[in-house]
Amino acid sequence: MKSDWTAETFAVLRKEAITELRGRYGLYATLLFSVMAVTAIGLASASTEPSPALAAGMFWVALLFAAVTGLARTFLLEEEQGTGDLLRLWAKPGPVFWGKLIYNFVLILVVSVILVPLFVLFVGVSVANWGLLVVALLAGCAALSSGISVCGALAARARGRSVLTGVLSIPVLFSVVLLGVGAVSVAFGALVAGGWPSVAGLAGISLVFLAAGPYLFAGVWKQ
Amino acid sequence: MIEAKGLGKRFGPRWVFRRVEFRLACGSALVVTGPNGSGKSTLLKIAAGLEAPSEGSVESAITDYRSDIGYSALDLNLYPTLTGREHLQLAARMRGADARADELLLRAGLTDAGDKLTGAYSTGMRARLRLALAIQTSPRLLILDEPGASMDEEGKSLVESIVQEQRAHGALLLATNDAAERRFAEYEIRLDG
Amino acid sequence: MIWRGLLFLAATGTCIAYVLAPAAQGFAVGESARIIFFHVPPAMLCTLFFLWAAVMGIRYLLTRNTSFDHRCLAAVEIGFLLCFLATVTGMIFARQQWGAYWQWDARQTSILIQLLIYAAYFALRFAFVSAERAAANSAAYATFAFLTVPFLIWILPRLPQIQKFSLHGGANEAVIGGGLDASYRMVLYPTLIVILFVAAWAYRLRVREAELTHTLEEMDALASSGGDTADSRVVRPVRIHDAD
Repeated sequence: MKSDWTAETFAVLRKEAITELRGRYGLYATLLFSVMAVTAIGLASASTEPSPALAAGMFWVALLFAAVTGLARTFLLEEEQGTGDLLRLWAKPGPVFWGKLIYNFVLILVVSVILVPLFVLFVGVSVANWGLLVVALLAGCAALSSGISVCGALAARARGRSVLTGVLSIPVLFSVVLLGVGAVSVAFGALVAGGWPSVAGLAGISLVFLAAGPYLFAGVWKQ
Repeated sequence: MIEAKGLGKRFGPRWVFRRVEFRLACGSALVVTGPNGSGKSTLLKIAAGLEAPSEGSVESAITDYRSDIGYSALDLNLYPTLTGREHLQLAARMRGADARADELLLRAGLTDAGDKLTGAYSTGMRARLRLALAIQTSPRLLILDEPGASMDEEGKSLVESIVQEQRAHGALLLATNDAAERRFAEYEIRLDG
Repeated sequence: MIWRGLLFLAATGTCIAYVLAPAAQGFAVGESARIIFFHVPPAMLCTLFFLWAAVMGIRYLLTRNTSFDHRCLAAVEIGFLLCFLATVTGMIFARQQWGAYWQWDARQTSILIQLLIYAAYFALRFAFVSAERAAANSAAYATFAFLTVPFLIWILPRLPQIQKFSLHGGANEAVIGGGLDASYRMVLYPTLIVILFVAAWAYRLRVREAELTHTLEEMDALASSGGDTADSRVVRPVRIHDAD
């Protein structure tokens, strides 16, 4: 039973990866979007040296918007191209949710890995605590991808689905952004407390989202 | 096999249909007819578990919808960046079933097109692949929404052979306005809209 | 009928107490502290209604019974109204006390986020054509949204990057923990109960209205499809004759 579940999840994940690599536009656009965001931030703050706290804030805004535009696509595209029913006929909700979620997690992790050197180069931040940064990004990406996966799934079959996904996920993810800013500003060298506690908060939110997500997804999937 | 009790579906304030009742046993076939917009496709979607009814219920002896229900409809789109063979393999992995890719592609007359992306398929080829996917697990309940639409003669005989085979081991629910396809069943439900 | 009369009397009593309560000390404008009677209860109660909405959302998803959907919607509506009242009264008080309507202090931030989260509920709800889909998706969202509320209430105000802006700490101590507590508590707690009852009453009326509208819609549709009530219009399979 367990191995079935893993194989089915992996099948969904594989399908996402293949269609993405062959279609290309989604991944490429998301990566490009984050580069654009850094450029815009760099331009806007060109005349000043941003403080670690401000740089962390800008970093999270770039990551949040890249996530909202890029991650919900896995759910929205199924309904846009009319293939959602295929998955509803073939698969159980659990593997579909987890397969897409893992794909999203990897995607946003790649974006954040690209964002960090861009911030170092163009915004002029220096990383004071690499260990904290890496753990904060792992926990933050888990929270972002799980939160957006749920919101994308809820909005997927609504009218105006892409705008709606932003409307749903941005306020829900404010908490994640606040904690993420707390952790990343310390990692960027801000002299405040609360770096590791913020990471713990991010991990806590991720766990809550991950625990509830599959059930909520199963509740709306076949309607 | 499957029993529908007092089914009704409403979109906004408008009822598409109400109080639809039927019972479908193994080895029998039921055809749904009616003008466009009368809710044929919606009724089939409800039977397939893809849509929730606004009232009434569907009771069935189906334990695992992934292998017990085969469904094909015109608005069931395929992944344009996957090949026909990959569709069959993907469906099999998710269903926990045997892919039978070569056999099904041959049956659907898609052997040569099996490794082409479905984005390059013609409408008729896509319809054949949908049929192949629907019968992949030899489902106990096969639901076909206008299977012969946009099919050539060869495709139509494929539909006919699938229908005969299905009636030997399971139940068939079919929506159509085609006089020839209507004769696949002994009973009909007419939705007036 | 009797409880409505009692509620009216209690509400009148609250209003009188509101006027008679002494001006607070330790505030920029002592008289302005009275607004907390209409600020703290909605802020507390909106969370209660959001919790109720999540409970009703879960029950809808488990049972698919429309009446839980009506309750979930009504709870979000009343909760949203209370949340809005708490935000507005808070802004008025902040202006009196600290000189600006908006300060981004911890409570203001968290209540604004709650307001936005639940505003999105309505955007989602009205974006579906099928009533079943609207009900299921908004029930799931009401549940999901509430998962962030404990965080907003308990964890966010303690974050160091938020705490340095915090204004409420001082105010809360002066009103709830400090020297004024006796007379203020005597007004605050009854007000809390009165507002709870008024809100619960509004909730019940809203649920009833939703159920009646639902019934009416079914009957309306019935009338337009011929006005029949008997079983005669049941659609059943008929035998196909080859002669057709």
